[in-house]
Amino acid sequence: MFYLIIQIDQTRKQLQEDGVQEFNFILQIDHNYDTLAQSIVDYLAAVDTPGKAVRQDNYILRYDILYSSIRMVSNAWLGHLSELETAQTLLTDSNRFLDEYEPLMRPEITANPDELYRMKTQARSLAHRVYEIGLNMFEHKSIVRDNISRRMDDLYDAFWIFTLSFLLATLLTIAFLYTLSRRAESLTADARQTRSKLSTALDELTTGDIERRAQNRFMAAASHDLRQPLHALGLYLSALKSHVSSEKGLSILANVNRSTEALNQLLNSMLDLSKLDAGVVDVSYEQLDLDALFEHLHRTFQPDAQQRALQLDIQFSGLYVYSDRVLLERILGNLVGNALTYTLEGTITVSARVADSQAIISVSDTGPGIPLQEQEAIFNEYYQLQNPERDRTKGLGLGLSIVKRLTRLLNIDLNITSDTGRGAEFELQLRLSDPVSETALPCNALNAVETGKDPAISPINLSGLSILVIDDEHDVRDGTATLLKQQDGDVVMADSPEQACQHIVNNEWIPDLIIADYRLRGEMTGDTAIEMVREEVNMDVPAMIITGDTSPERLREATASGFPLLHKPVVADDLIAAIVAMRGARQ
Amino acid sequence: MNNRGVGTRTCCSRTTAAIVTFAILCIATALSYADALPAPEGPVLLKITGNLRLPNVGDELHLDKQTLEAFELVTYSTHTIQSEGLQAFTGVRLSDLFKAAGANPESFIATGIDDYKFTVTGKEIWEYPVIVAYKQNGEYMNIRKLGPLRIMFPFDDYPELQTQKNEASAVWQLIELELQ
Repeated sequence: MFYLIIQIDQTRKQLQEDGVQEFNFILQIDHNYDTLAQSIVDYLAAVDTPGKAVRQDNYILRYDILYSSIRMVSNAWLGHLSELETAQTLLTDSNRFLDEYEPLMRPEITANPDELYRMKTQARSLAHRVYEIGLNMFEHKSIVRDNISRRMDDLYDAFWIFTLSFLLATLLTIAFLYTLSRRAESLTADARQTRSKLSTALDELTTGDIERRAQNRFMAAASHDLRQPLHALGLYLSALKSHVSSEKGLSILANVNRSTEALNQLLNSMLDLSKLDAGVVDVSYEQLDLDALFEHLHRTFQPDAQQRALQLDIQFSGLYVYSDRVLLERILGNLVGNALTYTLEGTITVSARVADSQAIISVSDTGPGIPLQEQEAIFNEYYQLQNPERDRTKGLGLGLSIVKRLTRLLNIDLNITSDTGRGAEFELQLRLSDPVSETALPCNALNAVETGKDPAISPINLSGLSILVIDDEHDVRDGTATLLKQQDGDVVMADSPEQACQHIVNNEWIPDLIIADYRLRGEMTGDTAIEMVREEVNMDVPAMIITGDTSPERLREATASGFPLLHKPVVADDLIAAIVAMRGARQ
Repeated sequence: MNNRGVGTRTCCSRTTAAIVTFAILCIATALSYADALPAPEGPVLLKITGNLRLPNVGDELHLDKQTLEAFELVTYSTHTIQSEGLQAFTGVRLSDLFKAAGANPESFIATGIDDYKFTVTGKEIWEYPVIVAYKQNGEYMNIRKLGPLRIMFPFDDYPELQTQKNEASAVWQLIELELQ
């Protein structure tokens, strides 16, 4: 590139110099003619003979010089100008001039002054013509040279512009390519991310995670709304019982109670799932006497089995395991309940044995069995075998998905051995433990499905107990109040903490217990409401929260508040039991 | 070299008393200064004028045919733009002439009988055998043949010398070199 620039520069210089020498030479010929003419003038002007001899030598010398410049050199220089007609004519005339006067140019010949004078005149005239040619040539050359030079300048500029443009373009291209590669990288990264998201989504789709999450959201929203009236219904029903005297009425009331019970169970199952997903279930490991657990199972399910003409074979083993009492009880309960639901005839067997230093608990039935291809699916929520019409008496299909979550939570291996028509056997693999003395009976901290299977309501007197109920739902508030008043409780209702405080101030009344709904009007929550009332009376009044929420986030919040928590719909017995427990704890 | 020989002979022709003193002077000068050439006896062909240390006539160094021919001869053939065919030129190196004049000019003005003048610059005259020719094809040149002296460059042997500047420097009908 720079080589090119240098070449262009050199050419330009050459162009500028071109023609200078020709011009110089033409000037020289003009000068030669002129000096010849002058030497002749000098000779003619001389008076004495020696002077004439010297001046003759001089004009002969001048003639020779002119001769050499015309004959020896002019072809070389003026050859370039041969296209100029005047130059050609001048050369011809000059040669004729030289030929004409050659004979006179000898020292021994004394020329005729007239001839010499003519020679001088001709030389002057030729000199003038040479000068004219030189001038024309100079002008012509100048114009051409200027043109070419200008063109060279343009070329030079164009070259620089081109070079700069090229460099700029190269830079831009590099920058563009760089940006492109960066963009490609980010696109690749995006693509990778999208692919991983897609594969996650696909995984979720195939494993039913998306469906489950959507159902969770739906259930959380729906169950809260369902819970409010159901909760009120339960409370009203409990209150109604003492007002029904006829046999027929009591029988109908019992049926209504059973239906309400079933409804409660379904909602509670959903609530349990929500709780497990929210991770708010505490696990407390301890040594468990399996026989005691089995005994509880027997007590719980024997009536049901008898009713359905099935044998419930519980085999005691005398083994101890290390696990969470409540959750394990729940797993076994669900497995046995499930077996009872699906087995039409035969036996449900519950047993335990030791294998590889592990305790294996087995729950088997003689039911229709589970096809191999469906053995994964049965653990999904709402999945039920042979229940396309979704018969609600068979439950919602949440049992096994709760079992699956619980076994995962407790690190228990769960195996199924089954096939169509060959019954099903669920095996749980647990850590063995040394036997310990056990006195405590299993209780149900998870608000279990078995509630209500326990002995019926025993009227408890709440007389003298001042209870403040804060709930923004009128029916719930009223139902709770009705129930508690039946037990002789002194109940004050408020739809907001502000109203409660107003009542307290106006009547100088102090509650012994506060029952608050978790989700109140606006952004208000139960725990805040309780704190407000406590501040008003300046006492740490015992309190509990009732919530209808099932969404994991809400549950986590409600649990974090630290108050005892009851879940709607709360059965009257549970509510009263909780109140009694709280009063007892206080006393 | 011839000029050196002449100088030494002159030095030795002094009287004995002066010999020692003069010899020291002479050696000292001989190292840096050679003695001037003798003044020419024949017609002067070339005058070297201007800035020089060893003149032989006044401030100038005059050379006649005999003195010129006493220098080392250089002969080469080359084409010229003034004549057709290969021409053999014989002459004296310009650099030898300058040494004889006790000069080391950066440039000089060459003048022709026809009053043409050209200022010659550059290192070419030191680096190449650039000569003042007095013979062309073995014959002395008269004025009509652009003689009797002309500056010549070995254009054929060294193509790099074929520049317009050097063409212009090859002054014909040379009569004077004015050193700068």
